Amino acid sequence: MITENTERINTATTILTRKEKEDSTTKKVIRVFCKNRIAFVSFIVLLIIIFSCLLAPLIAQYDPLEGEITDRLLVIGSEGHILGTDEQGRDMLTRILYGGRLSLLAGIVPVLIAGFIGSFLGIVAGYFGGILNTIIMRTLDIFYAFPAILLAIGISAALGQGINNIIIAISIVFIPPVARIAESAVKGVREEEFIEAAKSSGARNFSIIRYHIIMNVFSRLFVYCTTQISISLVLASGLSFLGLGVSPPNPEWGIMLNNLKQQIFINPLLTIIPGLFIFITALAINLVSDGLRDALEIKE
Amino acid sequence: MAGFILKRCLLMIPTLLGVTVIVFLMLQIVPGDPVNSLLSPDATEEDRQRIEQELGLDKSLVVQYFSWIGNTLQGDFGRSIIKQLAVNDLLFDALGNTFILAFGAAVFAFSLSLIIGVYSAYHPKSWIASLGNIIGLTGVSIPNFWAALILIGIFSVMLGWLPSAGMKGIGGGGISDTITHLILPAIAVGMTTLGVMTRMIRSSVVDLLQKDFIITLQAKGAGTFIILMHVLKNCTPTILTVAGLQVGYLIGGSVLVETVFSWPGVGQLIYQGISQRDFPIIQAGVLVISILFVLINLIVDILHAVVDPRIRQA
Amino acid sequence: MGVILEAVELKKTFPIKGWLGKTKGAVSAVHDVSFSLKEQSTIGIVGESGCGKSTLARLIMRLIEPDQGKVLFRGKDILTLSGAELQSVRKKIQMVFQNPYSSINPKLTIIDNVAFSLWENGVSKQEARKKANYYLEAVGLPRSYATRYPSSLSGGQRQRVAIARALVLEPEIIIADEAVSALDKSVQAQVLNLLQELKTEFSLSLVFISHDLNVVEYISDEVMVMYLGKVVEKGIANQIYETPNHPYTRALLNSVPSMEVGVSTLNNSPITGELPSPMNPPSGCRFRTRCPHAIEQCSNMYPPEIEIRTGQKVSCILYESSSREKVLL
Repeated sequence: MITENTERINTATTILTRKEKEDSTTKKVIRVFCKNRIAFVSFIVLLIIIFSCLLAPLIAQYDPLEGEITDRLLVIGSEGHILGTDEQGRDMLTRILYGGRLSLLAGIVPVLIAGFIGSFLGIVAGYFGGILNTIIMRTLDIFYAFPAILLAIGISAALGQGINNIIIAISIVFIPPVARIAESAVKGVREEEFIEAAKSSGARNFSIIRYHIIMNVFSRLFVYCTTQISISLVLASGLSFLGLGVSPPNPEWGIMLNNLKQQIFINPLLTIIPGLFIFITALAINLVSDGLRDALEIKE
Repeated sequence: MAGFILKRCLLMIPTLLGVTVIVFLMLQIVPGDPVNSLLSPDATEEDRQRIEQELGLDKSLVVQYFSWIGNTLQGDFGRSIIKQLAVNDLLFDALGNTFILAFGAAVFAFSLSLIIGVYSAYHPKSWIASLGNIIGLTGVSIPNFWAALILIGIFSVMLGWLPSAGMKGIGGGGISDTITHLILPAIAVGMTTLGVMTRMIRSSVVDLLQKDFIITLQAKGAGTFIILMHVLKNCTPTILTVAGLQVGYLIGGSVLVETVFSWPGVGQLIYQGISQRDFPIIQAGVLVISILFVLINLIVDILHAVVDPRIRQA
Repeated sequence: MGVILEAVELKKTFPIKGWLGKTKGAVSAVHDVSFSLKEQSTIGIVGESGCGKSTLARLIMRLIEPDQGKVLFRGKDILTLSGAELQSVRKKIQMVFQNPYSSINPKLTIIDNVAFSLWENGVSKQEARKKANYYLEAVGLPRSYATRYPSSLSGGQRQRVAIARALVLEPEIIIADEAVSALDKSVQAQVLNLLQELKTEFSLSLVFISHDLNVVEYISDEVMVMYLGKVVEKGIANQIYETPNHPYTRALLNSVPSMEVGVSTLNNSPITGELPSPMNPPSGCRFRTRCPHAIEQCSNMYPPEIEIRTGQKVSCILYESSSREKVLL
């Protein structure tokens, strides 16, 4: 009797391929992503920028902190200084490479921190509901009530200067939105029948969250967090621009823009360079995250 | 309807309280001792205690919070450490200027995004649609303080068309003068919103145009204008929500742009506060704008409910 | 064969919360429902959507706590158990859910979906997967499917996975809550046959819930008909199908299109009216608002259960007089 059924299954409809083992989801996502040319090119550009900055000590020829005053404000394409020099005579390219490290750091780390903490809070609030949910979400709502920049300014001004404080401030700013997404995603999954089935087998809540909930909310959270990276980058540069981040003479794209701000009347092209890098990096990140989102959605 | 408004207002109160608590806590985590800066080097322990008492720092945190709130509600934001002026004088002037800037940016962003967004939805292959795509993409990636610099670079330095700083010209006054000064900053502040809204309006309209009831209208021979009205009516709730969220961004975003243009708004005050380590100003600025942000969100919520009756049921 | 499961006067009402948690009303989902399931037999529970069958299923499994009543598993009231005892009884009663597309975790492999319940109950993952393989085979899925993901399986195959998952804890009772309703007719037959085979192979007792009368007739030994949270009739399956007593049961059976050539079912009395809101069920007999035979007394009190024949019970005022035969009709 059982074998009859097996044969029936084998001859029945389904459109399955001959493969015995299915491709894991990650491989599928990567494949779809790479087919998207814009996303792929952006990804390569991003890699180039990141690696150049990481390898700054090897690539850069000059000292990022000190320069020859006599060489100040050389134009782009000057001999020996391909991107010119800043108002203190420091080589622009060198400072861009070194500065990129801090800018990128300040872009990625807060998202990682907020991603973990926010997801944890959101999942707990979404899964357990009730009073716990109310406490967590209402508290986070208060932070949500601030415009992001102002909250970041307020916190980092209070904490003091330094890139660590910007990172902390931006992390705090990002935790509520991540938690909201996590909470609503979990609420959506929580009512599914397979969760009921898991509960009826007597599994502990922790296991249910680990095996059934997290995997089903992960892609949504991941895509959201990647879109936040570019915002974090711009926000961090903005805070540095205001003077809250690194202190001179350390390079960082935002503070470099502030230093050069006055020079716009003398040499407008030069002053725009640090911002150009912020822009291109943010753009590349956005295109990559768009591509990722499309790849993950297609798979769903 | 009235019940809905009342409910929303009531819900807003704990949020406002929470905002004040957080701003108060920000003031508390400032490292360093505010008393030290007011003491002379050879002050005694008694002097120290006296000043602490004056500033109310010897009382518990909760009491300090309430007295701070009490003062704030009466319009007394304390004294800026550096400028011995009452903060509130500086603040309210600046607030008005920031509003003007945010309003200008909103007008720019909302009207342009509406036009480009709707047009792109109707004519997806046109150059305007491509422009819309580019705007959408750049808008969300561009740092507005950099956009400000570029605008100055092009229109003030290279072309000399528009002024690059301040709100009024020398010896100036008058609306048209303010407007010329407003153009570049407003564009800089509004760029991101322009990008977000264009994208969103375009996709909403595209979605809606494919809906069956619109196609039915077309089949019945309704004119383009009538269909457009239907489309807009249906899009309005979503657009309104996003627009409302953007308003907060516009106000907050003006902080950075004001510093580039030396626009005398709250952002400029905060910037000066940062460079001078003047915390009362910073926190006062943050507090006031955040409270206004909450109020504006409330108004947007109510407007949304007026436009879309379904919200009222929730 | 003794009685393996008995529900005694189960009652469950869901309050409706208004503003600020105030209770605005209540949905009487299940009211005074009792039945008994004999070992290795199948009871079919049938009724319209909203009659409380799914709530009943969850009450029996104690996924929801009843307000009143008892659930006796082999004589022991499971509502009084807790901890390890409750857990061991839980394993004995398992459920197969309705929607094959949402009852299996799309992010876990088939084998893990089935093995999860087992490794959560103390068995090692390796052992659990071995057993899961065994049951996947038992439901007719080839070995190669084990490492696949649910998205590449059809509805019928997914239900087989759901059945395997229910079997892996080696229960004695399986509750199938609309387990075939979401499947194509041809696949329904396959899955129903599978259930029959498994029932014999693993000595299971089955509670089969459905709104589809044909399916229930096919698979059940006894049948219980529910309406708006109450039991209207119950008894041996073919007796009820041949001679339905309750007006609701009659109307239900009459509304089923007949496959027989030459038999017209168009003129039989259809059920009129709309299903009343479960928040405000009609007083007395809940069916009276749609019953063609309703009389005034029907609104006074819910008619008590009367045993018409051995094993066949009905709750209708028409059968209340001392004679055991029908009065009207």
